[in-house]
Amino acid sequence: MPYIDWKRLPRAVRTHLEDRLKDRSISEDDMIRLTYWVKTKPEVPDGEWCKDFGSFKLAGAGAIPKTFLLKGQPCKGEQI
Amino acid sequence: MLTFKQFVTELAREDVSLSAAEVAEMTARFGKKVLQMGHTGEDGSMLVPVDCIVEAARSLGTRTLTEAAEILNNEQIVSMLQSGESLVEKVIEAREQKLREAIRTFQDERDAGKSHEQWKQIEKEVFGVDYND
Repeated sequence: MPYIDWKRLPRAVRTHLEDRLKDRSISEDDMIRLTYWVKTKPEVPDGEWCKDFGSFKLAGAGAIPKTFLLKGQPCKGEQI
Repeated sequence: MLTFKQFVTELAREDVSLSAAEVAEMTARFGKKVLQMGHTGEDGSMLVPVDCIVEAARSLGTRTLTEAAEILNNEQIVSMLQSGESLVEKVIEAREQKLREAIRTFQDERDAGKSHEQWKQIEKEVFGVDYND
């Protein structure tokens, strides 16, 4: 199973995260959860996957993190 | 023992670097939470912010800190004492507090330029990557 390559997190996705944290759609606590999760160097499935942090979700495919979804937005792939 | 100059030089640095071997040894003893103390590089080494170590040291009493240092320096000591683990946990706590403060400052900042600069620091902290864009 691959590890997430955070260098490949697209700029547009990071900008989206920046905007949603700024307008508080994403909570401080959930950003901390994301940070701790990143530090654990999580292994992810080869195919599509989705990780729920509460106020947002991170979706990706294999090593590539693809997008952040807000609460209520459907997420494809294996829940991890 | 560090000289005064060496000590000040160490404190003036932004991060303390732990080798991959040190990270592996500490992870074996205290668990995966050790990875939350700093940024882990591709080679397995880790950069731990000096201010978080200082904050952690402050929050532990002198006796506990001395005990922690002995534990960290002696692989033979079985960690019945909680001091080594406490130091790791305090560094993690200090780091989390620093990130929380950075997020609040970013959210309250009205100047778009300053706000984005603050975001770049948060981004680096969260993902451990300095995105050059």
